Amino acid sequence: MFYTEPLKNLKKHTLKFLHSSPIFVLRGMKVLLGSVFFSSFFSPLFAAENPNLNPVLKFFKLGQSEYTTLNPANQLGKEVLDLYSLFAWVGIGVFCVVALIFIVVVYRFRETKHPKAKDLRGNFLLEMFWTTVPIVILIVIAIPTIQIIFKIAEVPVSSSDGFSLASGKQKIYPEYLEVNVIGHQWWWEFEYIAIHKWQADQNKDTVQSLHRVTSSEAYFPVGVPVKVNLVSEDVIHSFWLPRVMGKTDAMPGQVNQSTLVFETAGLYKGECALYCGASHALMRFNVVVVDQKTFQDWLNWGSGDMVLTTESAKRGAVVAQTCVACHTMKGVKDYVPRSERLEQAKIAYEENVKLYEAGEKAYKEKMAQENKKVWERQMREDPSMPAIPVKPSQFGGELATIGPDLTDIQFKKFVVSGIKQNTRENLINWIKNPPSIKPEISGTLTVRMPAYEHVLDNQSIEDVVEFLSTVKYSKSDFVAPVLIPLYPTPNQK
Amino acid sequence: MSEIVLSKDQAVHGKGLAKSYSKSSWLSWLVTVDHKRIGILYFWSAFVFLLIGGLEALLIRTQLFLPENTFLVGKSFNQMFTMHGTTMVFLAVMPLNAAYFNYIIPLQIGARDVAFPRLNAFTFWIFLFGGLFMHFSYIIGHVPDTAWTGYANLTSKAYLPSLGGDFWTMGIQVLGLSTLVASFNFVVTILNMRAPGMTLMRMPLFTWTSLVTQVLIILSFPVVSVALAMLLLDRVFQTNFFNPAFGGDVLMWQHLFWVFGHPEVYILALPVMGYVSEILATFSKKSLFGYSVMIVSASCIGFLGFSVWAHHMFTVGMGPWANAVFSAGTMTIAIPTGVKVFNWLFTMWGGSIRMTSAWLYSVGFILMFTIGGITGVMHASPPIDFQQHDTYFVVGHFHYVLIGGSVMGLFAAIFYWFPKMFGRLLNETLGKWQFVFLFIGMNVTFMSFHFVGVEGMPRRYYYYQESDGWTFWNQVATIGAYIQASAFVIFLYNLIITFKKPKGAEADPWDSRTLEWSVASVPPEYNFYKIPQVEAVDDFWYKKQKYGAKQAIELPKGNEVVHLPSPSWLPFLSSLALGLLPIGVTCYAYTHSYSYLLISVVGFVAFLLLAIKWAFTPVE
Repeated sequence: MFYTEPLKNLKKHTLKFLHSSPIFVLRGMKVLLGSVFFSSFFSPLFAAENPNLNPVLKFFKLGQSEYTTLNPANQLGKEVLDLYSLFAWVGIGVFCVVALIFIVVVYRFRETKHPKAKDLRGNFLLEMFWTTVPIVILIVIAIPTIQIIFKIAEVPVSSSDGFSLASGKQKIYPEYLEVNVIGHQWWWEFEYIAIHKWQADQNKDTVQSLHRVTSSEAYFPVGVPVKVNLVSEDVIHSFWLPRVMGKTDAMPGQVNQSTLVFETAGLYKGECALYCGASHALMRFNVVVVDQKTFQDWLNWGSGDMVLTTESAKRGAVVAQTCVACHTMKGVKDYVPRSERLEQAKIAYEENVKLYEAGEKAYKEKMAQENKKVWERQMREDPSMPAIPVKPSQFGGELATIGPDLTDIQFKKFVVSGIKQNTRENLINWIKNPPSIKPEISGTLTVRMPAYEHVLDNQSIEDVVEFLSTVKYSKSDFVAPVLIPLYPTPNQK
Repeated sequence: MSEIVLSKDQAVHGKGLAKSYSKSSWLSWLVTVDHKRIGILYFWSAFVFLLIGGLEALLIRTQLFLPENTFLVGKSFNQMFTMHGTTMVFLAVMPLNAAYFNYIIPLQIGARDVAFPRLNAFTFWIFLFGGLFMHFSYIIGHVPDTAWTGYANLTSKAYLPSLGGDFWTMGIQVLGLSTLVASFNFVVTILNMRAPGMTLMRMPLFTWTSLVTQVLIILSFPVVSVALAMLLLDRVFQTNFFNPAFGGDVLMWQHLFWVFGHPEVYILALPVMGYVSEILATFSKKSLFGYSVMIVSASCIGFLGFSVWAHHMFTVGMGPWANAVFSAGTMTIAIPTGVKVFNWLFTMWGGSIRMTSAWLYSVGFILMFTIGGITGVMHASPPIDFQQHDTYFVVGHFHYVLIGGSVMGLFAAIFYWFPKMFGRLLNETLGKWQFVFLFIGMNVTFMSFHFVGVEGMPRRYYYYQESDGWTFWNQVATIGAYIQASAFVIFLYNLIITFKKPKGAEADPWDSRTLEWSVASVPPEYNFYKIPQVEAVDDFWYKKQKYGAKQAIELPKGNEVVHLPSPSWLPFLSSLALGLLPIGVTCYAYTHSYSYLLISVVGFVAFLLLAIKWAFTPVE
């Protein structure tokens, strides 16, 4: 005995055509088109070595960006992409099953075709089935997941005849490079620490210290693992080279380690991948991978005395004295490595502690003479008291370099944190008015560099750009390699 | 106490309120303790915030339509995505769910009101205050730009000095208080005030998923309150919880936030699963498939949701073992979710499906939530997540589960329960067109997000260049956003023409299964004159089969005398008093003058006095 009265009212409120069969064709088509559209983004499973050739990806304009995750440049990256394809296939399968059941159910049991409902309340076997099958599927996709988790976490360790990326894969490397990657608001700094070489006869790791720093465009050698120590000077950033490795966060207060392996030479684009303030979107970087010889030449850049050939460059070198209030540059103001700055800061801290305690003592004696109570807050806020010394740590902002190192700026393909082509015009515009490029909105910090168009005249700015672009060093010999971009893209301005 | 026989549809109040406001006056809304009115207040407030959040989204998409666009750059853009996320999560979806908790749960369990009616009103007013407080930041120009996740140490005063961060911190603190207090109310109501005969295993599924949701709220909101308190102390009172230079730890914020944040997304999704379960059963003319399995799986999702928070933190360097454990846990949640999806599909098996707008939204929910769940399982794998985290792929994932999931489910609930709440049925034709636009727009936008994420575009980028290769899909996504906006325009038009119709919906327009349909549409203030004796699950349906519709539905006769809790000024005044706390702290943060903290002290003392008066004022 069914309660059917409301149905009559209901018909007024539903579209008549929904009760006729053609809608199922439409609905089925909708789900089908949806499946096609949806499954297209799983198309990495068709990825060949060069996704440029894959018509499916090309149709959906995927795999074209230089930041794409669909064109990994090393073995581990390819394994990760294969894992993604596995998940994608599984995902498509699950969605197709769900969509199929949906289409069948809606077609068969629509009101016009099936007016009497059967009160089916459950089925134990079905419940068992669709609980255990997903468990099995998840186990199947979890196993390679966990294997690759551990592979990615590898850092070079000494083994019997070289450095291996631990976890049993037998690729042995004779050396690896260690680099500190420091995130700043809003640029990346690369401090080259050491090359670790395996001395077979002495059975140990010899460490050859390096003294090289650069920013936004780093050179790495091909075929040599690069161990990066990621840290930040201010807020959390995330270091991401999509074609090379997954991202790892650079945090203040913690050093994260990761290993980069470059198997092919070329230019790799990277970006900051964690919201870090107003100019988060403008914090790009590039990695140029070159052969060993070029890399050694690049490492060597800056050794020797500055050699300036034109008058403009010589005038520019004088102007650059203002720049090094914040920037560093070989020959004008040398960069001091972090570890040394930490040592200096620790010494300064000890002295500051002594100063502070002396001042505290003097204040308390003064209060005692005037028969007044010492209020801690008042003492701290008294302008005559020395500042409370800040304990330096390797993560502290007080160790920060304020501006990027400019020694090798002439070789960079991109300047201004990797967002502008390295042309004279771009450099001049940047120096004149940084906030017009890394936009200044009142009340927040977007870029720390002031606008020099109000401080220097045009000639001085052109001179300093000439200086930066043509400076040579007496013992350095480096020629920037010709870099072919991954895919031809419209010119950046 | 005198009892007055009033005309049909009015209830008697005791001496609680000296002057009884007529139900049609706007003042009566300020003093109401009726769960139905509070539900309607939540509904309209949340709806307005939903539109504001949508506008913020359109601004974001407009900026990202062109490379190197200058429409909305830098900090302004960051403010937009912060407010969009915060508004949608805390001020739109959660209160819309709260509207249905308020309106529907007492009706579904056969109760006359919730356990603590005045507290219920208080939670609404404090929510409204929190929302207005946060949006006051627009008026003074210090809009939060912390991102809705507010990661330390970007949110410290040194890096985000504007008052926006303080508005955000205190605003969410207040909203969290509202939700937390309400959750206790609903747990007590569901456990204690069910009609006789309604065992837990005879409760409607919406009440069940709400119960699980409230438990999740009780366990997770205190964590974010603690985190926000620490952040507030850092920002305003120079403590160093999250300042690594003085020994603090930025990772601690992330852990605390995500221990809250992950259950939060289940809080957003579980009630919606409840709506969908009921709507599918109604429009298939049969009961839900696997009732007890659905309850167990909802509880599993809730329980397991507490063990997976660090899957938001795979890239912070916790190490491979931690990543592996959280990865396994996250994949496990896919199992009860998948079970639910199949149970919904089989609910319709053997039934007789009526394809109303509410039904359309429910099946849209199933399909879109499945897609969102699939991409979620992809994120569960750290190697894949290292490439997808903080890219538009994640944004695509959570918009599938939030818009394709929660919002579609909410629209299903809106269309389904509209006659009950407002006495009129929404226009079905417009509802279906709205669905078409929302479905198409949603897929166009968020599938494009997946594409552009795979191409390497990170989140929270206001700027990209033509050479990045992201232009095409960004433009497609913006077009999709405007298509979705037109769906909302259609809905607004639907609302307008519906409210022009007179109230006249019958008690049970959909031939439904649960108790709320057994009373008049727009129920009388007392809900049930005679508390029903519950005999089975889907009791109303059972009664309709057994006794016929006329007996099963209870319409007011006109001579009922029912004693209900009196309206009271206490909830409204208490929330005003409590609202002075953040105002005082904000003034202090702006001026650094201690005298402004007096405002907070005054507010707190007033709140205490009102609370004491409240505690000693019996509900009459």
